[in-house]
Amino acid sequence: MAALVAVLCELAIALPFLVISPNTLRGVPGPLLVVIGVAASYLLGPWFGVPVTAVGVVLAVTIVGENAWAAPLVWLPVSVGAGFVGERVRHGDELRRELIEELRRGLVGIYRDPAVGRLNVVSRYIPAVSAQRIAGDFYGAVVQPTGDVAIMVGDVAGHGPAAAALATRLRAMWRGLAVAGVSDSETVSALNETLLAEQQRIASQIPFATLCLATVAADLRSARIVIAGHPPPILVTARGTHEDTHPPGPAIGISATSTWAPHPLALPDDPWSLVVYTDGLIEGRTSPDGPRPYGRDRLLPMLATFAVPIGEDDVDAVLRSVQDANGGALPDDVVLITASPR
Amino acid sequence: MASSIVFISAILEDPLADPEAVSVEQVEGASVIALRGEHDLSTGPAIEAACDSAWAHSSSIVFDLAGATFIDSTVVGVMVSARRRAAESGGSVAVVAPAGGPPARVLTLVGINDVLPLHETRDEALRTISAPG
Repeated sequence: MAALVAVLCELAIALPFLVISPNTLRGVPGPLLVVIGVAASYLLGPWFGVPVTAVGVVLAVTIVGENAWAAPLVWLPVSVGAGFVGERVRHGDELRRELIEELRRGLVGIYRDPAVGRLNVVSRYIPAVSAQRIAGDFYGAVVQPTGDVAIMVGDVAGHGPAAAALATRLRAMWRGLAVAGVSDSETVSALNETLLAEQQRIASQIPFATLCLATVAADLRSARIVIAGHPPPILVTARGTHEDTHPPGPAIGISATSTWAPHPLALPDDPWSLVVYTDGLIEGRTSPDGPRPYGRDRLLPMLATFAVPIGEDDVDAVLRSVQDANGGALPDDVVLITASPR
Repeated sequence: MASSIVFISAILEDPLADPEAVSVEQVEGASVIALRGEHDLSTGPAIEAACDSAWAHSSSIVFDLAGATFIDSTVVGVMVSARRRAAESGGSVAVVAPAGGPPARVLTLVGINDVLPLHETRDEALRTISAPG
């Protein structure tokens, strides 16, 4: 099929040269040959397209005779060829945009209804500066068979389609295990094994991934936290903020012998919000000309200024505040989630 | 078109235009890659290039992060990949990140200090590299 297209294109490009005047040709050859070369290379691949086009042009030029109306015949197919290229580029662009959008939806699909079990889960995903880039931040929230609500935020190290595709696989796997009621530490171990297995594949480029699992008990009195190399969650109440200070477990994908133990987080009777995020939130600048990172030291007091529960508008205000400090859009993707009792 | 403009402006506005932000030198049979200033996705390719040049000269790499004021997971990823490659080829990788400094905090959070011990000084890191095992 490709060969047939190649031959037809070649004919379309070479035919006008059979009736063209060398004088006419003398005025146009530079840009013309470039365009033909580009078009042929794009359509046929450079190893085939360039030599074939060159041979075609040389043959055509040696055969041409006098003909006054040849010029349009040269430009017409060139335009058609350029149109082909433009169409291919446009189609490729469209496909790339769709793929990026679909990957993003797979990573951080926002649900219409923020209600998850007995919690309201507000989530934001801010892609990095360039919309054509894609990173590996992901999250999810599901109700477990016991009524517990499992919240997960993860970050695959690295960027691009490989990181994003792996992140969607890890997210789907997490969801399956969480819905089935598998324990948090077993879930992280299984994800670790999966990532280590992925790394055995040839040309694998993902060095590790970080995870934060926060599972809020159905009675809303406590949560279980498992950290794998990820910033710990922050509990916000009317009395201020409390950052989970247990030593974190290692990131996944580094060692087959790593283990992760959950630790409890007591939840108060008065209103609270649990804030879970990816490091992109705290890695911007402290001020537009200041150093990096913004850091947890600044995030904690800022969160303390909000009334709980931290809702939709508050989450946007947090993001604005961090972006303002940075002096514009943040350099990396950001996921920010707050979970509060309904 | 739009993406190439973003790309060009990113280069023009790059605050990390320090030519010595990433340097490679040979010390006592090991390649020392020293990072200065802030490092993230935008300098990742330069660090990877430094690794390639380092592997060409020796099977052991020391990442000296003492002069780095900020690193993100991209840099951690490069070092983890280097450790993996060293483990496969019989070489070794060591990291200089003084305790309490910004790089040490990031590396401790990610939890790779178990597999990639952090050293206070370059000399200390070079000693572990030259010591067998």
